[in-house]
Amino acid sequence: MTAVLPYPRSRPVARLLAVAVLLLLPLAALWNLALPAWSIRAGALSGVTNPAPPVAWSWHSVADKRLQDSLARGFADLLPFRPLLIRLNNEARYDLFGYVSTPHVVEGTGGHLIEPRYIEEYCARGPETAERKAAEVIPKLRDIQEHLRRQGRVFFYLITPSKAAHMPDRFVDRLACASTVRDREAYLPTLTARLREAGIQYLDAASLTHALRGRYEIEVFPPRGIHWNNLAVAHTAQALIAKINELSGREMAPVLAWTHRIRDFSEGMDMDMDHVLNLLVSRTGDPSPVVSYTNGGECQGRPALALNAAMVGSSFIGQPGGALIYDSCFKRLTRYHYLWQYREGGDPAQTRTNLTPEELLPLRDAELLIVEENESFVTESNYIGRLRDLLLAGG
Amino acid sequence: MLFYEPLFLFLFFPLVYALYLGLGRRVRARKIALLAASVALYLWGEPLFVPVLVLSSLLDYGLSRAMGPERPAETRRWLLILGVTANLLLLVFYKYAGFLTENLNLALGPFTTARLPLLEIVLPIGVSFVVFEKITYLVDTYRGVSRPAPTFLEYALFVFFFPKLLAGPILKYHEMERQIAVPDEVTGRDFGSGFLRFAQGMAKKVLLADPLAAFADAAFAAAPGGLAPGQAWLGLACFTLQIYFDFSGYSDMAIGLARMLGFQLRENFNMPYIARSLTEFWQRWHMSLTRWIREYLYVPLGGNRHGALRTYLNLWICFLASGLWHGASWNFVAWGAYNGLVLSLDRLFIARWLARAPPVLAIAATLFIVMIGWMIFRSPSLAHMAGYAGALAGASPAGATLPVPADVPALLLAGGTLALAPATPLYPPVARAYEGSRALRMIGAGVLAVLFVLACARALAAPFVPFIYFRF
Repeated sequence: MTAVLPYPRSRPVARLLAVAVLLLLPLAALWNLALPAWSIRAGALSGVTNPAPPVAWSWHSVADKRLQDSLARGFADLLPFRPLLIRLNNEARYDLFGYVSTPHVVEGTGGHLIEPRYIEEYCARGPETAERKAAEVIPKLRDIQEHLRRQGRVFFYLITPSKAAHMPDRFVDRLACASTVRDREAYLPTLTARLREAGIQYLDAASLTHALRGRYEIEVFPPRGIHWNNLAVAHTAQALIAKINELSGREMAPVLAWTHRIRDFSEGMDMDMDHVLNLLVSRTGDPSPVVSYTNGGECQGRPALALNAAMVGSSFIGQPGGALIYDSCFKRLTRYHYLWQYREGGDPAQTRTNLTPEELLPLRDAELLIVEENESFVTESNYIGRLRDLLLAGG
Repeated sequence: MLFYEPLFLFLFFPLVYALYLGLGRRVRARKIALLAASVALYLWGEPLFVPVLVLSSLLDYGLSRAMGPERPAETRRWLLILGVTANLLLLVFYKYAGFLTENLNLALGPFTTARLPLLEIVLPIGVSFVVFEKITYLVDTYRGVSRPAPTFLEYALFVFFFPKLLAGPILKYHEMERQIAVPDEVTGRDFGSGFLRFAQGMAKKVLLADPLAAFADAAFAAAPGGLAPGQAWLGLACFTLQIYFDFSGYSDMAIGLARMLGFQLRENFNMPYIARSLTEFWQRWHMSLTRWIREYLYVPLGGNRHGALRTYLNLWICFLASGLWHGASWNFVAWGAYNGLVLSLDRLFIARWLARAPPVLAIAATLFIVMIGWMIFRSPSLAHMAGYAGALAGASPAGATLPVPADVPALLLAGGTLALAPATPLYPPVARAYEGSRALRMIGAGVLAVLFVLACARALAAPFVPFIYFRF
């Protein structure tokens, strides 16, 4: 006989309601698992994370708990309110204690955000750093330059600025900074001197940008972003076109002119570091520039329209490359981010990710090739060597 | 699967609770469901140990049934010895085999080149708690304090009951017997009180203990020879609060979960940092373990019945055992010896002095003694312990300064206030007002609910930090 309790019956309706409420959460997670296209989520999270290792279904993975860990992580990802709660946690810790919950972001003075690796590089600059990096990168650049020159094509190397080098006063107290001011400031002049001596064509957009500090009512690096803002991009785009015209021996496109105004909020690329913090409320209140190019549309009959151009580099090529495409006449310019990650632009314009070797072959036909590295990561990008191999293999 | 992990909070417990509620007044079905859930939880965390524990529990159950009063006393005694030995061997194998082997090899070193092989045995979570509970069952059955469990189902439910499975409180079967035999049906009050208690525990563990652990870990990981005294004391203060909120927070969660299921568990902490002597501290800290040591070790050794010297010896033995129970390492033994020494001195004169001192002084002095003990407890080795003690005394030349996380001052203030406020004259009237005012209790419940949400948020966002006591 089933034992029953010797006191009055409890309320079955209340119990059923409680059961239904309790089952809501597991069911919502199950829904997200079964129907990812229709997943229920309170918000989304920004940033890139390493993919979780695949679930290993075996007795060994049960015994050493790898399976349990995988399933637990996977379940947490399915929770509908996970993004909201993570943002709530990050916001609370940021507001109360100034905590940046993401390990790859550091906050300097004035609310300026930066990746610590930029500060680490800046603070590691020694008397031999520029020489060493020049010795390593110049042979590869020379190979590319000579290969393209033999084919009558245009090439130059673009150096983009580091936020840490642009405004070191905001960051150098955040980490141990062993390098001397002299070594830090000698880095770019030494690097570019070696490039000149080696006959490498280059555009030093880093020094160009650093010279802009104090010129405008706002900094040319946004507080909540790691990349330069549209003011610095406008100057660089102007210099890029001037360089292209110079190396081409003719005016491929008019050198850009622009006006600007300052608005009282930030958005888009100016907020990329803020987005990675995954706060509940984005800090959009920093002023940002709006640049209007005044002669960008004068492309009728311009050689740049038909030019098969390519930029290969880091995330820093996105904005100046975009200015050349959409605000100037280089409509066939294609941007290859990290050579494999994705490409944007071209004719017809398209975006592709995880490029295959076949999808990189059009680089061999580029009549204008700009290869970019950020001053902080000279020689650390593997795409220059790979680009050289790709071009040289094509004969 | 720990109580604050998303898998437990949002899948395991809701499903188990829904099933438990849905079974209504079917007593046996609810017991089976609870046992199945408890075994499943333990299987999730310790798949290799659970079968061993089941077999060991079968042995306990069989022995307890065989220890009936109709058996000769000698037989009953041998059955008890067999059961206790089997349980202790379980503990020694999983917890101390490596430590014993290592030290035996060290001792044999000068005499032979032969070495005993070091076995890589993973310590199952909660093994120390579970084994101690099983020993209490056998001893209490032998003593006639407890009746043997009528069915293996009920004994297994006592052993595996998941709210207290991983880190206590250490329970006695006869205290749980009636609840296990006929589990009360869950009421709204059970849910409400249990949830609030659980929320309190989660807040203590996730919002206080874990963030404090960050600096405590950094301080104890640094070379003590280069630690400035301020930083050494700060690290020790962080650990003092971390261990309290970590462990008492876990106990709150265990008690809260049990209450949500309609079970009442005994309290495990009673505001230990307001103690005015070390003797009183041990009456307030991890009370279930203190009680176990007293009833199953101290009293059988003779307690205080054989003169002062024997009493002090018994205290030392008990605290050495307590130290070893916490971990297989010489620093835990040292910690046990330290407590044994201070408790003996307490009985000799310290407690009398402190009783005559102003309460603030007595509490501060006791806290100081306890903190020195925590320094021994937390140090990874005896050599480190000596170095850290030197750092506390200012004997180390200061090296690089450890960065202090921005939240540490606020957490120390909050934690210190929570831990010490009960000692203030303001506390009793505030507590009375709170108990007597529904509005205040509603506000309190609201605050706990918010803290619960914040703790869930942090648990989802933060990297995993295990409970300190689980590996005991």
